[in-house]
Amino acid sequence: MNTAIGKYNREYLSRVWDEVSEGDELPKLEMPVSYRRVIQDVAATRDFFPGHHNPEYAKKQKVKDIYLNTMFLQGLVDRYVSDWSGPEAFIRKRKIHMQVSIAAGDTIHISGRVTRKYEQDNEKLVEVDVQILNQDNVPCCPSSVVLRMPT
Amino acid sequence: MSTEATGADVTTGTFEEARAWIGKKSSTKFNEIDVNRAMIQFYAASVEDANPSYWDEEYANNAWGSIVSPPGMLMVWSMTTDWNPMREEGDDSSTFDLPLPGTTLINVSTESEFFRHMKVGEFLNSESEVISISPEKKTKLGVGHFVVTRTTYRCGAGEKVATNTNTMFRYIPHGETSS
Repeated sequence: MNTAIGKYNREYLSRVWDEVSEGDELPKLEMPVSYRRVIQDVAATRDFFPGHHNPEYAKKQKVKDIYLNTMFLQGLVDRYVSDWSGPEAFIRKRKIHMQVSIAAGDTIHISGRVTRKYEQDNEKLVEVDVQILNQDNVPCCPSSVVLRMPT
Repeated sequence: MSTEATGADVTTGTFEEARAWIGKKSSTKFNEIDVNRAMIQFYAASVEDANPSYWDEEYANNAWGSIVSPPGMLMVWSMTTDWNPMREEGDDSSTFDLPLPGTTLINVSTESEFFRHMKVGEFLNSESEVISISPEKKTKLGVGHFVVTRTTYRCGAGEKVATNTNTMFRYIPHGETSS
């Protein structure tokens, strides 16, 4: 682990490449998705597409209620991986596939696993697969992230 | 529900009209807002991201030279305000403008690559290209077309910051007839 010091002498730990192995599991994360969360998403991303704030419109789209947008899910996947890696890792690539919308009222369960550890163009890289399931165990958003890790 | 009430402004047209857009590059779109700390923190708070690169100046200045943007905000920085008295006519070309039969849309997938952090104070710009439009497909939501676009994001000096390939579904929901 690398250690860095910030404001108020806070200590931030970052995992280094050598400490990671293929097959490592990331700690699981659960997040309830309230109306408040979906609207925080709209406020934070300024995405005023009606499916994210108008339940009637979402239902017309055949989604059960207002749902999280792409930018929220990207940020959530990044946060999940960076909680594990620490702040020194840099997100080089990220893919997300929104198979099932995540709507207000859902609770999501996130898990992740290191699938590949490799070097390319002098970068020490780690690939992590991330799964986001809803309360019915339905995979909503399979994702993967390639991190450049510190040494 | 009227467009006025919902705020969804989608250009409709035929598949053939849309296909003429494939390979067309948009003009460069210059972001209206700079990468800024206040929005970074509202966003990081919405996903509860404690990464000190977004919150702790002392840490971030040492590590990156400044507070940086979460990578997930790449598309946020190019969102426009609903109203802006300084905006020029005709400089906005989004995938909403693509003429297709679908009356609504939903995003399906994104694939992003980042070359460096986006730093506080930077104004980014972007250029997009329609890569492909699928023939008509039926999903559990409705009937429509998958549209793939690729966008390249640069900083003011022209350095490439990120690329994003986006797949969106433009569709008519089941049970709705196209008008």
